[in-house]
Amino acid sequence: MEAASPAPGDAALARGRLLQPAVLAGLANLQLAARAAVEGTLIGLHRSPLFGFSQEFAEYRAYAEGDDPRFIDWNVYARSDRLVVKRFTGETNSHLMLLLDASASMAFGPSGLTKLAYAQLLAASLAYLASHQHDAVGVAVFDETVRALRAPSTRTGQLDGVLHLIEAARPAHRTDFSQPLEQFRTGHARRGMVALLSDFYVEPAALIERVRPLAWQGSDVLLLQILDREERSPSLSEATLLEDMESGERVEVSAQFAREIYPARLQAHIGALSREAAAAGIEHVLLDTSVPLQVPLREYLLFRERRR
Amino acid sequence: MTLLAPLFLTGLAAIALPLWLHLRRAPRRAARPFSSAMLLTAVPQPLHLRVHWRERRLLALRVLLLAALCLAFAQPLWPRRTAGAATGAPLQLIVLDTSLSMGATGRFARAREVARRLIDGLGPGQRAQLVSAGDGLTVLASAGSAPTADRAALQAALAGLRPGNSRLDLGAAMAGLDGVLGERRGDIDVHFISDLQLTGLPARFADLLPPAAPARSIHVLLHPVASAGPQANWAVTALQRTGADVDATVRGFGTVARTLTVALDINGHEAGRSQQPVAADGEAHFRFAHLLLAVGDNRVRARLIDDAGLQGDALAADNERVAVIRNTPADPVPLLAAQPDGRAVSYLSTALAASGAGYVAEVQALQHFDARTLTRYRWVIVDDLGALNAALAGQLADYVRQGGAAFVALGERSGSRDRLPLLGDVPRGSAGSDDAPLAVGAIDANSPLLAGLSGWEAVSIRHLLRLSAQPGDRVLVATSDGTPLLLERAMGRGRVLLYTGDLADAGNDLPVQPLFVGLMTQIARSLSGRGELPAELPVDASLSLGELGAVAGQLIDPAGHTVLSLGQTRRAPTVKLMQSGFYQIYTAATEALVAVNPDPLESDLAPMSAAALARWRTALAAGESGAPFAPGVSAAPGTEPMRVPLAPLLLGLLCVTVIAESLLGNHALRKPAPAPSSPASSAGALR
Repeated sequence: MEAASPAPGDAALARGRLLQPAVLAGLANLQLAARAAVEGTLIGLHRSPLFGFSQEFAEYRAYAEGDDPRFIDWNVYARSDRLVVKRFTGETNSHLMLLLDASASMAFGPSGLTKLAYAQLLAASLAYLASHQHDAVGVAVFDETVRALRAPSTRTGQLDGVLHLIEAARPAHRTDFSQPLEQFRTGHARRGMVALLSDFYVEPAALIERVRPLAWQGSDVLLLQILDREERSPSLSEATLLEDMESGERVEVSAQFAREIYPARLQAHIGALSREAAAAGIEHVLLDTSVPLQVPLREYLLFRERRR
Repeated sequence: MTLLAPLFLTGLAAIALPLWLHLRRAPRRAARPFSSAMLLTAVPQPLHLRVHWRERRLLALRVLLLAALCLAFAQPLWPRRTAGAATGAPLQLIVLDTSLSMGATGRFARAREVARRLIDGLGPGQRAQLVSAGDGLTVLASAGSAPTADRAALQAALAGLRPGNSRLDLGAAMAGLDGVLGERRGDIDVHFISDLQLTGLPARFADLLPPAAPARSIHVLLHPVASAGPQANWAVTALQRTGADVDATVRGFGTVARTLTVALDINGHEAGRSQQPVAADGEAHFRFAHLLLAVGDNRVRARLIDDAGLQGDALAADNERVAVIRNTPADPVPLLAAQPDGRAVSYLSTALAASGAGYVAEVQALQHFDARTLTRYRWVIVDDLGALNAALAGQLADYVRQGGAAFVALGERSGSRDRLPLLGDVPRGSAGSDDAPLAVGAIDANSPLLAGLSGWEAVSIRHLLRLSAQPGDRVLVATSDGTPLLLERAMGRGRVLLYTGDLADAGNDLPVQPLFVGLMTQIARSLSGRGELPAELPVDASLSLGELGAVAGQLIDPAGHTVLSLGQTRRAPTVKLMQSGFYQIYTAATEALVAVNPDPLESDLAPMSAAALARWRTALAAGESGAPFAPGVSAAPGTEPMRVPLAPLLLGLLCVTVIAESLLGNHALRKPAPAPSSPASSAGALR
């Protein structure tokens, strides 16, 4: 069921306010939150050819078994007694695989919105957006192993299934990209888009080494690195004992270190990841949990547009 | 600082409890969750390992509270220099002899002058203490119980001093210094002002040295005040009854031959005078005969008449002596005899009359004795138990069981009885023979009935009924073959004293031994249950009302003042007799009079020899008086720090700490709990 469109006067307000991650996270229903995020984004896009997304008719083609019966043009059938289906401008036969990191480190979020919650919102929004572009969408929730998996599909109920898996993700265990990526690569060889949502606290070279085979298989990989603002620039007034949320390792750091050395070290880490990704032809987008969702969604649309 | 009860300091270990509690309650330093430690570098110093105390002020108060409590119980004393001590002058302890001999002409005036000069010679702020030495050392409370620098107070106390009636033993006085000085430390000058009587010297010369104490140095300075030359003194040294007469003994010490007159007062009225010569340094007995004594206790006083013969007598206080002469008719004690004219009756009657125990035998024939009169008597005598018939034996047994007492012997007719009346014992033949008489083999020395009796070895026993002691019997005297000769048996509330021989000098010779009179005296006193109060006691003797068989009573001194009331004697039934004269004692059972006289040793005014005095001084100067002075205990030699008890201050601190701890503790309880800052709380923001 389609949601009622917002009144024109409320559009700007809705776009500015509802797309805030914290506000969206407050919605009880993930699908509702995703739809609000996507529609808020799309309203702002209008019909810009740049983004190439619309529901305008492009062509007919003969019905083939497996096509969605909803797209059969019954008028043509009545006139010509042939089953044809409509093709639209934005429609492709691509699929999107969302790889959601649900390791313990993703529970970090002293500002109130954890990285995992943000990633869940973003993944749900991407799934919603892809679903409305008739892309097959799937999801894999992983930490050290693949915890839950739903293969990409365009079947009815797929979006609900994907959203359910995304919503059910809970932060636990450590991050290890080796096994999940290997499992995904060997089990899903079909080309498509792969969006990897994580904080990427791994060695950049090692990560890219694991991701590169996906690119070699023809998939377009998008690394969405989600960090918290507090994480990027810790505000410590005194020496503080910090505990690694995954390993439990405790490290006492000084306020000076947190203020001066750590941000630079993290920035170097991000830069290294970005460079390694670029070298491997992989997109890398850095997000923090305060960034409105329209930003990553637009990044995704641009990413999708580029691969066409 | 000195701790009187240092063991209480072990309680300080309890401080570990609040330390543990606060350490336990101190929150473990919470680690702050962070995404990854991958990019972190630890600080070189592990700050999180540092101990963090929570509620430090509360902890400090609790530790302080416990410490103050333990310290208060440990009773610390803080050395504090007083103004006197600051001058560096030693404490002056002025000990003034106030014994009877100091009343001799000129002695006490000289002693007072010496003391006055000593007080005047005190330095500014220098403290002194005045002590009188009589029967013991007494700190004069009028000058303050603590040493004082107030010369006026000391002089006033000195002016109030008078010689008393006590006897001073120099050894006891030196030993008493320890009690007077108590815990005082440092350098102390003891000025001993005395006539230093020869009779006051202790048996051991070492007793003349003051007791040693740690960190205290006593310098005894002797101030003899006896006259350089000899002082003559006559004294009445004894006053006693001799038969119907009264003898007063007068002795001269350092005297020439004189004729002296002694007057005898009976109950306040002069009964007669006697005059006779007394040899130089000699003794004379003044006898007063044909005296009319009142019935009961008579107050008898012998006094030297101050006439020309007494010229030159240096001490007047010992010129009279008092005595209590009892003129009480003896109480009757029934002597139940099988043969009232027998020898046993004669021996018993005579011994009782000579004993002075206050009893006279009332001889009654057994067949005529009315047993109903038994209750009138405290005790009875039976010369031959075997002569009792069954009825009288039964009545006598009832009398004893109800609290009476009986002294029974086994006469001639006892040997013919298979079973003894009253006691029920069965004789097992006889012991001893004319050829081989038995002797006394064992005496129960612990029995008060036999105390002080001697001459048992002279007793010869030729015939004796052999009886066995029953369980509960106490064999007081046994023969050499173990046969009981005198045994004590309890019957009901009373008792029976059984002599297994006869008292007719037939089977043994005890009745004709001098021992027999003493034995009958003891038996009479013991079986009658009457205590015996001595008629005369020396000054400073202690009198116990228990000697009268009373636990409470009233005591009136020679001046007519009540020394102890009834209620006071219930709490402290022993009293010290300080004055010479007659003390009256009233108890529920009796009324008694006690004569108290000074010790005749005080009448000998001769001081110790110059050689003895020099030796004493040498011993004192040689530092034999005690431990060497320990510097560091007091600030400087010659100073005596006062020990101020800190317990009251600590208890005050304790109270303040308790209040502060309560307030602070309540405040701490009201503090809101710190809000947990865990990112996990926001992990489920979507839900």
